Amino acid sequence: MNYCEKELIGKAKQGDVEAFEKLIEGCQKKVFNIAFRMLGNFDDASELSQEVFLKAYKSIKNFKGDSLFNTWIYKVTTNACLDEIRKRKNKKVVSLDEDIEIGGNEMKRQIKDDSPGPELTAEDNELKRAVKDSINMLSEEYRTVIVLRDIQGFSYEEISGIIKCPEGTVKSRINRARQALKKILQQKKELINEEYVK
Amino acid sequence: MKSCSEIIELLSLYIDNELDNETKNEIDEHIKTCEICKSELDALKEIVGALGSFEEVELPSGFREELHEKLMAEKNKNELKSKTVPFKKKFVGFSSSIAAGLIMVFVAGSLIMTRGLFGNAPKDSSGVSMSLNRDKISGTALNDNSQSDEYGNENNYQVETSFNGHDISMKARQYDGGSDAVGEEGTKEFADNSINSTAPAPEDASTYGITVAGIPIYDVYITINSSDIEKEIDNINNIAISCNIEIEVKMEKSAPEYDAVSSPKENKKVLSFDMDSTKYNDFVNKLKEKYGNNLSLDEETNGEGTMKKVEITVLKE
Repeated sequence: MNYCEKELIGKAKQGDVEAFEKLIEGCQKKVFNIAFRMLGNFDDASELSQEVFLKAYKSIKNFKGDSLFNTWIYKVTTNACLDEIRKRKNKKVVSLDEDIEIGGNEMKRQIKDDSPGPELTAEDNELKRAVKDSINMLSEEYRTVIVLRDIQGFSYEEISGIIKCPEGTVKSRINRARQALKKILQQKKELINEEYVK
Repeated sequence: MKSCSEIIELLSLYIDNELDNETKNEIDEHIKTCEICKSELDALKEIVGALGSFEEVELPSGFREELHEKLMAEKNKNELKSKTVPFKKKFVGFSSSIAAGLIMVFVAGSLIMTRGLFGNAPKDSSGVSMSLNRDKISGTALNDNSQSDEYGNENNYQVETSFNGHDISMKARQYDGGSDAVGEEGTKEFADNSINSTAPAPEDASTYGITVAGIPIYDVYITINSSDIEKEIDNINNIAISCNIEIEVKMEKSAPEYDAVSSPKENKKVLSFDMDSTKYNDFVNKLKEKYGNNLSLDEETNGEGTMKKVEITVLKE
């Protein structure tokens, strides 16, 4: 931790908003992007990021300095995302199941609803779109490491700090998450092929 | 040699270049000959590549501004909260000085009884003055100037009960019919009179009139959080004047202990003064009229109901 960051943290702990804003300047975009990829929705990500920073401002007194400030804030972010995903799951479980039973079209619509926005059209690559849709179908544990490692490009060590797991666990979880993603994509492909056959 | 399933388990780390050279070479060799593992690796690489190519999205417009507002609101909320801490301390301190004052009054009261019995009891007139004094102690005859006539020769002397130096002693004076005969001057005058009129009673047999303000005095704090503090102070002053209240500001500062953490834009002042309880409601109603929802009121009354801590916060519009 450099001196400047330490000083800013000290000030922020006393409630200095300006210092806090300087502190988060470097990670704001990343926090928003993590939330966006985890939740798959622009507006939800915006709202959640605001909450994350407000929460961080309120609880910076508890920040011990045993990790980098950014690592701490990414941890707050992923935890907030996981809470949000779990909350949604409790609400949406029925409708999701129904849609899947009704058929491919319905499921497609459901997933599309979860990730709208102009940025989707920008990434028009078919595989990319399929991968993106599949992320939302991963368990939150796998989704977290996929977002952190493959989309945000954090190192194993950094991820270990963010999700508070030993590096060995991070390694095997990333491996399993990628496998799971591959499986989902394969199933999708098969589903599309079946449609063509019909 | 590793089996295919072992190799597949390692592909993720292989992609991330997290393997030692020996294992990495082994995998390199393996996929040269094993189509299954090769296609597995390609599939994984493709997915990871796709994930890595996701563009970073920009922050929504107005994100920083929205956050700034929220942070400032949170900060202000905290400051208001923490401000009540030194405030409460003061309140407790004030209460205990009131208690000390009451004890003094009590002691002085017994003194009069004693003096009365030993000094003035045999005289008819002194009997009257004694009962009058008791009235005064109970605080019911504060503004009744006619009683001083019964003393004759304006013998309505006052002993100021100082509440540990708190300003309340000044208020006590104010409520006593505006009499100016206080302090040393009064005592001197009295001493002369006592020698002249009550010859048998020496100086130490004097009759003391104790003045205690029976009307509760409210300790009022007004926190002003506004872009134009001076204007608000003027406004509040005008309201006070229209209610016949003279604002005697004891402290007017932006609480220095908070300056260290507040941004330079922070505009906050605390007005602090005592107020006669009978005028309080009128004053608050007029404030409410003027500030509406921008006014928050926090009242706290002490046990006897003679003291009230009032915190009025005028928020920024």
